[in-house]
Amino acid sequence: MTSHLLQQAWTLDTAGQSVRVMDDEALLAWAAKNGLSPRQAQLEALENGVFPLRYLKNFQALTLEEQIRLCRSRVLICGCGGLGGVLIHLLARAGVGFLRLVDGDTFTASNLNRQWLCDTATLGQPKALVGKERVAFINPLVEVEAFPSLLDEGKADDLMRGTDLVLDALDNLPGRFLLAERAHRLGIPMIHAAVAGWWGQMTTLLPDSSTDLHQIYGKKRSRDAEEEALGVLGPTAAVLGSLEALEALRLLAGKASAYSGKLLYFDGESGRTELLSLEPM
Amino acid sequence: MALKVLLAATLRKYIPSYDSGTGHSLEVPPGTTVRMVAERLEIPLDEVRIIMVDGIGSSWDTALKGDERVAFFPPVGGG
Repeated sequence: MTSHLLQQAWTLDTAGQSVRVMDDEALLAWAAKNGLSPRQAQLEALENGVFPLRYLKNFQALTLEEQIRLCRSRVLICGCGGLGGVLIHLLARAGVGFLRLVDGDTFTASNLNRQWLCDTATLGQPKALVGKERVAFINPLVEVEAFPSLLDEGKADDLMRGTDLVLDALDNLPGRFLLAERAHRLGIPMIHAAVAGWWGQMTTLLPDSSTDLHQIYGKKRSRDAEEEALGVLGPTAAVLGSLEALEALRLLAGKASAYSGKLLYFDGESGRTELLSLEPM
Repeated sequence: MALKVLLAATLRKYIPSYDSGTGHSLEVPPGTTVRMVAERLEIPLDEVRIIMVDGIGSSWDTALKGDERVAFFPPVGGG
């Protein structure tokens, strides 16, 4: 049956190279006809050397092998707000094969300044479910699950199980510490990012690394009123969400982490980005 | 010349008159450490995650000449 799929491919000359490509329509039709998921169809195409046309501009930045790794990857995104909305858009477009979205919140007017999934049509709707719908629009080849509930101790392990990477896009410290602790215990890498006002930070916690969130937050376990009052600027969330998405693509493609053992600090007010070794102060 | 102390995010509450455009000027004798600067400004050390002196990552024990730009950054937690 694969031969029927491959008959739909054609050759495109791009940047001096010939690439076999196929459009979404052919992949979706073949998946439906054979009772397979669209994700399985794109994997079948990729493994036979055919690039879905929508990933053409990934090509050369990513090898075919790396694109296959993205397609096989399963990622948990905790939080579908300022950081999460950016992650969901970028990872779906990049071709990460499976996204599990968690958020217990619904969209309100104060989300409109920065949360990409929040617009006048989605106000009042559950963030995780909107994320799932948006992924279907952006890239129907991606498999997506949505859990419109708060992350808690009872659910954390089940949500993480079977995933290759955990992305922290939460807005609170207890949730981040819970996520980091469980990810470490289950041996799953986690990328942490957080924002406030003009500022943001991120790091990557690999299972074998000795760094953890205590080195970032010290004894702090909750956001104080002064920090809440800083709000979050849209571009700050987009920058940190994008940096988190890039690090996710690095890890999923099998490249080295850029931020393991390091703290990236973004100061949108001065325009400077600092990258420092993460050691107990 | 005075030190120029730059505070990010929530640390600004410790200097109510802080001007985000110019920072906070502070006269200190040569040999003053970064820790002494934070203590004099009554900034809790455990709220500071990153210290930059003239754009270079530094520590509490970094000694100053007295005319540097000292920047303190706290961790943030929003999403």
